[in-house]
Amino acid sequence: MTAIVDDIMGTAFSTKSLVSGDQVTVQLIGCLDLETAPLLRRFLTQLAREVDAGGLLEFEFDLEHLYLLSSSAISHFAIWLKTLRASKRVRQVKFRTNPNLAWQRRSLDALWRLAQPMLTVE
Amino acid sequence: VPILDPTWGASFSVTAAFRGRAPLLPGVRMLVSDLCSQCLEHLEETALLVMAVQELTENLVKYSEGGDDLLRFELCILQGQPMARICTRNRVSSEHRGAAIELVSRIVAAADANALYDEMVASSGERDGSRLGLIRVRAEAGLALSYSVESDRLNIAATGPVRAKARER
Repeated sequence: MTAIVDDIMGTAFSTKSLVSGDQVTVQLIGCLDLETAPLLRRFLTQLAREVDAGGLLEFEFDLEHLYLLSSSAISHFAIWLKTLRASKRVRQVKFRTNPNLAWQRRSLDALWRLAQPMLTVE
Repeated sequence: VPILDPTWGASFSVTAAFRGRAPLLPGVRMLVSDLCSQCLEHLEETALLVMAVQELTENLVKYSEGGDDLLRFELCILQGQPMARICTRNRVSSEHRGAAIELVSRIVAAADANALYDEMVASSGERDGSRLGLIRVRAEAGLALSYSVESDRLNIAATGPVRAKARER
């Protein structure tokens, strides 16, 4: 059974997901700040449910069009990664950064240190 | 020879009741980004300062008790060195003052800011709110933090050197 992912369709922040088998690629588009971080939390909760159901085991987040990542969003990602790590089901989580937005790698360092080797940052 | 214009710099300040007014944030970010892009050499520094202002302003939106909160952003020359300085001032209720001061002083005093940041990221979900904003300003943006308390007001300052965009003379 293929997992179904409901994307966020906000104006300041949205997602665009492509599911292939037990893998999903998610484009994060816009700004993740205090106002939009709750949307991310809801989205990640949805993905965690799919992990529990065995529908999704690999995640790739494409940050090419992500222009802000505030601490609220980092916290939601940290909680989500801890959940995945505890489940021991997920094969890989990958953040693909935009090389023109060097801050992205720096901002993801703490999450990488938290969740490697499950998490990779490119 | 590139030299620093002695009039280099820019600043703005906003006095407002920030509590609950998250829609102010994009405008603040845009202003910081515009000023930095005119004054700073590297986009990376601009991005870090935008992040730092975002985090400090989010704290005002989330935790201020209201009233005349202050946000001030400066690019200025201090002792001959181009610097960025971000200052906030907000009221803290007596109920939350102790916890707020404890968190701020812990972050300011940490010998290894990155280690404390890792520790706080690892304990995400074990407290209300992320509480990561201030440590991120210190660990990720590399700004020095200081604070003071005046009656029911908490003042926070984040300061660090920047590379000025020099003008050809």
